[in-house]
Amino acid sequence: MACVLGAILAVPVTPAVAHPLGNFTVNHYNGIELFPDRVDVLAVVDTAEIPTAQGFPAIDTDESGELSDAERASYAEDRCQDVAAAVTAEVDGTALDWTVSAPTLEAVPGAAGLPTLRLTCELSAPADLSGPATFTLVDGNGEGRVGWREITAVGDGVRLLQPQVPAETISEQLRVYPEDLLLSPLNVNSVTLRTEPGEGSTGSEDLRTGAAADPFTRFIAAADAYLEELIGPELTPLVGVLALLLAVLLGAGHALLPGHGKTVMAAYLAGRRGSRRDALIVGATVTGTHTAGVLVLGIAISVSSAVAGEQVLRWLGVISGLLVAAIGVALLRSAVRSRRTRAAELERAAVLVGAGGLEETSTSGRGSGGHDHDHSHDHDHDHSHDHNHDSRHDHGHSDDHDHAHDGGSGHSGAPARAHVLEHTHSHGFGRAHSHAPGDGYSRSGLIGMGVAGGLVPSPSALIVLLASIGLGRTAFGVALVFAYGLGMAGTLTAVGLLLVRLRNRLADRGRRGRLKHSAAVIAAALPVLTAVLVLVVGVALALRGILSPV
Amino acid sequence: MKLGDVDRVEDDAARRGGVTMFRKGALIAAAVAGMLLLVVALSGLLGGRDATGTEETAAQTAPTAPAAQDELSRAIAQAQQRLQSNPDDYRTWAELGSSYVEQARVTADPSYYPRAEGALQTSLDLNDAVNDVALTGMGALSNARHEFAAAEDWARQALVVNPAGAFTYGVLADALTQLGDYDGATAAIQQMLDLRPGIPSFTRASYNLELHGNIDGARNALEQALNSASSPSDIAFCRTYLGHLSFSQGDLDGASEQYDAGLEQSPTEPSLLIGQARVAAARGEEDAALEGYGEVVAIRPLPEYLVEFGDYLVSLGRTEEADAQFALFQTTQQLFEGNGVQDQLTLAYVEADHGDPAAAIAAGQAEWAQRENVDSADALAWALHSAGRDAEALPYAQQATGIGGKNALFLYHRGMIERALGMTEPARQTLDAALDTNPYFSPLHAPQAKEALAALGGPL
Repeated sequence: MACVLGAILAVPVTPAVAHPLGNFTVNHYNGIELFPDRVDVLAVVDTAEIPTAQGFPAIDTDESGELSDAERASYAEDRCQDVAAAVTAEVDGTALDWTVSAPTLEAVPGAAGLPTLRLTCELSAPADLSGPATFTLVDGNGEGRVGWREITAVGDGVRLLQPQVPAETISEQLRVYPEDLLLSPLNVNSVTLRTEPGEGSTGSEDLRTGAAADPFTRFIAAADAYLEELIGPELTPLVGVLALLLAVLLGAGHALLPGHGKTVMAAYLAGRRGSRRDALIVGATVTGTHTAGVLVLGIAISVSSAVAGEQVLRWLGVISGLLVAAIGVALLRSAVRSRRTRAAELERAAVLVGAGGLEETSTSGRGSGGHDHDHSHDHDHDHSHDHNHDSRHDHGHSDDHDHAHDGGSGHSGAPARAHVLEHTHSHGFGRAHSHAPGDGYSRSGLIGMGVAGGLVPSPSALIVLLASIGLGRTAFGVALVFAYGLGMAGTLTAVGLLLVRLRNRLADRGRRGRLKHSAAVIAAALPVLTAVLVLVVGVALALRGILSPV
Repeated sequence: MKLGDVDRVEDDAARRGGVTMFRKGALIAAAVAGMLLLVVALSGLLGGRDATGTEETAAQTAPTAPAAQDELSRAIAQAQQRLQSNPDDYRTWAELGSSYVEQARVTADPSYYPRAEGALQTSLDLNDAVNDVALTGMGALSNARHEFAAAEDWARQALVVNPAGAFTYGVLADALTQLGDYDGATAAIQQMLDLRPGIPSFTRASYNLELHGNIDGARNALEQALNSASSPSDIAFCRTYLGHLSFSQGDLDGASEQYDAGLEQSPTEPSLLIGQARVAAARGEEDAALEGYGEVVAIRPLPEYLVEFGDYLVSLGRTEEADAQFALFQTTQQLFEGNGVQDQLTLAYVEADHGDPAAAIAAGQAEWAQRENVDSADALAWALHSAGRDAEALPYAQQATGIGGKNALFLYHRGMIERALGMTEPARQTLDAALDTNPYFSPLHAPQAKEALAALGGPL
């Protein structure tokens, strides 16, 4: 019962062997060639010493101890039929019926003076690949056995669309098994190929560098790889600074990559409030959350393999999405409510405006998105005239507003009125609802947004940190992650501020001339639209996390 | 004015509501984020090592890594990828090497061993000062290659660097068990259990308890291991040893149940298939047993499987077919020799049972020189017995059965030696104990044990 003993200790009795793949392996290769009218497969089976010895008596029918040509030919014919029967292939769901030709069996000298066997079979089957088609092949030979399994595919008059197997064999059709330390023994026994008429292939999927992705993604991926190299062997001060700068850039770049709902959120936030301080709060929170998240996850991963980084990332993504969605719901509620309350506010404002002798209404009663708030357009219009001072007033105002809310004191009648008069422009667009619920983000609301934005650690930051830990440069890795977070925050803030300017432009247009009406409509609808957008983005992020394949 | 008042009141109330809502939201968000980070941190500190116990990297950070079939393969793929862009990362090299050793066990593909050695050596070349992961990996690799003294040495080096390496204690325990230092092994397993309870420590504890005769404890430990197993290969692993444990106590139904459950997870796992073949053989289901053994040696022609099949064929009187299996066994020995591999244990038994007693003794002594544990003691005793040197054999047989555990085969060997020495009463006692423990311990030898016992006058 030596096996009980060995195995219970997780010590395989299998020894090291000279044959690269062990003396008891049976190895399979399928070289697929696709033509418009048929499919050819070169099937090779390399049988190592022990299974060769096991099968030997069945081949050596005259028990001479040697394999004659006739014995080999007859055995090859039978075996190739078996091999073909176990290689199942389909084109668009129609099974292919193989014709076997050129069966050959070669005895190749192996270890310890023992022979190994090399069986070659040529399979061919008619198939219609003259139009777009899907070809699948499953090699069921040698199931349960240990061995190298390799599939290659090329087309002749048939173009392969992003094939998942290479065109070239890396084992010279089972003659030389690569012993690359960074390459596991191949174990590919099935393939699905999408084809269309034409030549060549559209490039195998190089997932690592995202070759199929857009140039920006590719650039970021390349920069990632470069940063990983930078923190490699020698770390001079110059390289260190360079790496830090690159980390900032990468953080900035990653925040722009698709799938970063945080950008949308930041844009919404900053765009709505336009306060530099708010943007900074969001930016700082994103940086802080992201840095802390990466550090905790990175340390956890490097301490224990029980933490499956992928899973954690996925669930963080879900949580982040739900958080964003919740914020979206809250925004939507407040935006809708604000439109309701604004009716009242606008009436008041109109009265005040009227008293001030300013411009009178011009577009009342039309096109306010189905709402019957006749005065909303007046209001918008009136309040946007003082555009020169837009940003300054904007910010000042929002801060004041903030404090007022924080202190819990409402506006008294007089200041409110004065406020409306002095800063009417800011109500013109997006600010009209500034007195309404929900517009005034409390600081905790902003921080909540920032947390959601920074909660999902960027994988490349994580890799950089882990690589640094691996090289014993933990402190430097932390600095890199921090720089990364800074870059992200920078992008988010910049996008936000950009939106502020766009908003003001839009407001200007609204004030001038023809686009006035539509601009006003957009302005009125914007809070609701953006709230919906935040909600949708949040739900999408959460769903993506839940549905993503593991 | 009135409008303004209304406006303001509504405004304030609504705003307060809004603010409260946001505060709540933020609080919840902060709480959720905090909890999450806490969980992540705690699982890092307390969480069980992955089922198979490697210091593998779980840094599954590359979002574009191709989907692998299991966590171990995924960890390997990611480590390979990381090393491609960062070839000086000694830690990842060490983790990759350890994962290769583990993968060799899971897949039985020995081509992982040279890769493991290369990766671990690369890691040590990059950092030979503070690199307990690579040292431990080297120890695991040495154990896999049956170089147990070297394995102990690697493990002890690793413990100097990191005295709290749970997996290092596992490697040390394996080495000490094989070297026959059972007290040292028990202590190492205890350390491992304290540091990191999980499948690797539970299964080791189970085997240790079984060796010392605590079958219930051994079963409990395996069931604990099973409870924490999640991957098919881990579940199959635990089921295999639960099955073997039941079989060793003669519980065929219990064993079969475990093997079936294991095969549901891993339908072509040879260690489960051979368990079923043993059960079929014990029940006298000849066809099923022959088919089962045949399948096992076709899938994985390991020397001990070939011999076991051969023994079964002999027990059926099918000597010609049996000889074919023994011839294959000799082929494997030829290959092993060519590859410089040490494993004489099976050879000692084969020669003692079917061949040349002198060769059996040579193999038994070679094995004993490598490791003085119960297995090599029993093999050497049985080899000496086959040559009629029973007086020399007895101390080894006593040693093989002297640490508390009841191994039916070992007891049978000892009983036959006692009988040959004319120690009738002890022989009756020992043979009875063997059959009492497991009347099905060997299709070849169990009938002989019964015969011998009857000839001596039956149980005492």
